[in-house]
Amino acid sequence: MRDKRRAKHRGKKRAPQRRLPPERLLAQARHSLAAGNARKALELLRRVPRGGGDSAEVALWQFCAGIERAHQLADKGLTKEAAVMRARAGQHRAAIAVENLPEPDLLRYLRCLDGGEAVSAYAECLADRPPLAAAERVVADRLVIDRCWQPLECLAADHPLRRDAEPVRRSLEAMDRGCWQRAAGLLEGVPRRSPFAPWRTFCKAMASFAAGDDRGLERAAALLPEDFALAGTVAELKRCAGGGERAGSVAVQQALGTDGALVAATAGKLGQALRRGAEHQIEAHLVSLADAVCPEDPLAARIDLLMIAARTTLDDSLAVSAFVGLVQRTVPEEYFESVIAQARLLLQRIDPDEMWNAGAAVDYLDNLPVRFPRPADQALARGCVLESLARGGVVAEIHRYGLDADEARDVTALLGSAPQHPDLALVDLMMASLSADPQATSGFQFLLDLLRRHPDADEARLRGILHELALRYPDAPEPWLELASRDYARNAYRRAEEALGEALRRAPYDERILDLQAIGFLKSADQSRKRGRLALAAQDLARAAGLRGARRGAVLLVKRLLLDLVEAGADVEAAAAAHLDALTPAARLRTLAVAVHDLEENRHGRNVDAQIASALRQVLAGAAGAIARLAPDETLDLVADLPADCRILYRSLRVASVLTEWWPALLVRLDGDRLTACFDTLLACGGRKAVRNELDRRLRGAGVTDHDTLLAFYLAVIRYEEREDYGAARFLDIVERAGAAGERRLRAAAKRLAPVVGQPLRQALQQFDFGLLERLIPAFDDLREMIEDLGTPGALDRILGEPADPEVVADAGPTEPAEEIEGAEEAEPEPSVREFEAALGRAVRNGRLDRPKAGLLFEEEAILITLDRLQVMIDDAGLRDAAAEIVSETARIVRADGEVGRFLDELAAWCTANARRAGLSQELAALLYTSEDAGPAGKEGC
Amino acid sequence: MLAHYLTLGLAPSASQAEIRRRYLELTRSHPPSRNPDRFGRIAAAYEALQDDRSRVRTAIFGVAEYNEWELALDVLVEARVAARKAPGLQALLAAEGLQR
Repeated sequence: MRDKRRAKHRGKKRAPQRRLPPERLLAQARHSLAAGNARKALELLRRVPRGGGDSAEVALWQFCAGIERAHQLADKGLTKEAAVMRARAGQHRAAIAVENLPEPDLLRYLRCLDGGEAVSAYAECLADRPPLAAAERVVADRLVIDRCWQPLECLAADHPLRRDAEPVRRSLEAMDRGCWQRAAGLLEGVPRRSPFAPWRTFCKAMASFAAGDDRGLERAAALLPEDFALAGTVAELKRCAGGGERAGSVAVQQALGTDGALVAATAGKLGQALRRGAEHQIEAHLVSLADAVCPEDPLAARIDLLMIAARTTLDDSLAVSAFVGLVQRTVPEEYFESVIAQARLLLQRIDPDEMWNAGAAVDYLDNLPVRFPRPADQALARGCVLESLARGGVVAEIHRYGLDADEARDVTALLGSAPQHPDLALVDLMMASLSADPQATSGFQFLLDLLRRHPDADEARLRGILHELALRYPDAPEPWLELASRDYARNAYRRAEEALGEALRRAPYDERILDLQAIGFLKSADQSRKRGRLALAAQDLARAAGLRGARRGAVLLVKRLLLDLVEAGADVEAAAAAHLDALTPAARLRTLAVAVHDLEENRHGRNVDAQIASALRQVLAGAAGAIARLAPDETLDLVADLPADCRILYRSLRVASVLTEWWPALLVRLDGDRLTACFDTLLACGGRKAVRNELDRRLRGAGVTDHDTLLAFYLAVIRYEEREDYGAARFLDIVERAGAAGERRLRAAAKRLAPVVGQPLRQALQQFDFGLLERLIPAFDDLREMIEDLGTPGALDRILGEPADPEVVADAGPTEPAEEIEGAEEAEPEPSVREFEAALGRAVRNGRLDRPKAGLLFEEEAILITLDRLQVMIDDAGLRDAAAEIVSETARIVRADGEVGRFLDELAAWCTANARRAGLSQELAALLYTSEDAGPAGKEGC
Repeated sequence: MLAHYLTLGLAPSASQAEIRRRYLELTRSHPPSRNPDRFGRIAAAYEALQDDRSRVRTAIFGVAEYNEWELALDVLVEARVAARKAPGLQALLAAEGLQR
């Protein structure tokens, strides 16, 4: 090898170096050193002949170039070479006449010294020349960098370098920890003219930078001198503040975290590659982005980015196999299975309906130690994964349809044993989740919610689970509360009371428990009264009355009245009068109304005499004379809290209807907030008709602009509920007329009214977005699904291509592809459709029918089924026999979706071509044919 | 998800005590009155990492918080771009080649 190299250079001759004057060589050396090329500077200085030029100057530059070169070698890791170079450079120091150096050369020289040397050298200078501020700043920089404070003692005690060094020394620890604000505070006492003053300013600049205060940063950075030691950092800070164009080096940018442009560009490239599914580009950009995003832990960043990439498999941008390959190439082998399982869990969480699968959880939990080395974290992760699986299972309706064989096997692997009741598999998963992470409050609440979703499950098992929860969480009232609710639902009042007592012992001030207890006593009293156990009923009512706070007071009064009436026997009116005399007129009316409502709801009860009901109605009619004397506030008292008092105790809240004939006289005396408060209660208690009449009366004859917008809003809500209106126009008009101030009142009213109306108005009121009414007509939500079913290319091929055994097809109902077509329906696919598809499949496979013919048959049958489904939607939307303008308005809204409109046009064209138009109902014809093409044939079909 | 750590200016290996300390520092230096968006991001990041349970849940399902994968990527990059660090003096000297 050596010979070869020699041979290679044998023919070449070195060009003779030009002889240059020493001054020129020195100038070139200074230039090279300023440009950072210390090696070339040294080379040039070596060519200066001995005795040529100023020997002190040559020595200075040889020293400076040698020190600089030593730094460069050290940066490359060549420490031995650097030490040699430093020693050689040191040999030139003796020849340097520091006291004669001009200021720029002195500064250069001082920068090449360490802190202690710099102090000594500067002290030497001071004997022959006045103090130099710039030189003192350089010495101060060297002291901070090298932290060598001892030599300062050679300076006078009042010299600024010595005087101000102490606070700087104290602030260094804060600077090293990046606590720049604190460091700036410690340097607050350093005078502005001190050589250490730039460090105080630098600390302020860094503190402003970290706090995102760019104005403060700009102010501070502008005060820093050009020759400050951390010039690159200052340049980068100025750039960040928007005041400088020069950027710091990449290393400085990385240290400050300001290399964002590079990160954003790489992320953009990764996004593009993910959209295209370009596997190799994804890999390259993912790796470089992970390194840039989190150089401290690039693997964590890679896994995060892989999870983002996994999501693109959902829309088929990236093939699943490509994703698996990507994971294989970008994470260490031991992480592979864990990352793949995590991606599956993630996709399941995003789309549980489609992706629910307990297998991913099994794989992930098998590899937990890879991601979570701490046992405590492993337990939390197990709890979290099992909870997520159970929550996803609810969306996928596992609790309704149970597990298939594969899923049961996976759940068994997760639980360690087969679920005791397959329909309670999700409950078992949640129990296992809580075993792993007992403090998961959200999981505990979800489990209770999950138990409520199993009304038909084995009661003993459910009660067992609740008792187990009560044991596991001895301080939690919820399991007892749930047990009590179940007992009440089964009319097991005594057991319910015991459970409630347990709950109350754990949460004595819980309003829910106290309320439920009141309900329990009242219902128990009812039951006893109906069975003729009047003493027991009285005892229950006394217990209800003894509860803390006035709970369900109005209903308690009623129950007492009814018990007294049953006990009184024949003299109902006298007993009622004795009971009611002590009450105010409003309370009397209210008690009578609730009592009549109670008797109507319980009219099948054994001891409820029709005579009592009619007697009470008479008493009510007699008491109605008091209505004329009721003050507005008393009228409000009549209805206040009525819905809250009657909820749960009565199946219906239609108490207001008892007073139907008196409402006009009552409402006429109310105004402003009292009127709307009364309206709110009436709308919740079945008094919509009374409200409507009053609104019609008040708004009758008034010009549109004079309407009270709030009342007009109430009327619009009622008109929508009564299907007199469709769409958003009326609401939008009212909101526009109300203006900004009125809109606040409308928003508050919308919030109050939302619970008492149906969808989609409820959603529109909740969000105060009436555009929703144009977009949502729930009964027609399935239209898009129908379009997908019918419009998917190759739907017929999927049906006909199924290689199932015809007999199995006939016996087992729909084949899998058939389910794909009808599968999105919530209910069981219609038998006629299943039979038709199965028969069609058999006919084609047996060669009795060719595919094109089968296609036509399928098309006709499918379209007829579609028309039937549209008729059902019309019924569901309440459009049957509705006014023509309402039907056409609904058609306009439904057709506003372009794809739906085209679909309906195609159906209309098919009906026309196949002479089916005459057979359509009036409403369906209005939906299919727009007003322009609704000719006589449409009417003919009516 | 890593974005939460970046928003707080921490490494994924940060301890619970570090997370809390950093959160308190940031809420002091970025009060909601000055920059509500920034404060909101800091609060959301802390909520996702405030205890071991949240931290583990975020590590497994963090990316599912976002409706679109593009949004998850943007959030990660924004958190990184906005993540100004507060390096110590030694780190700055090393970056400038001044450490001896």
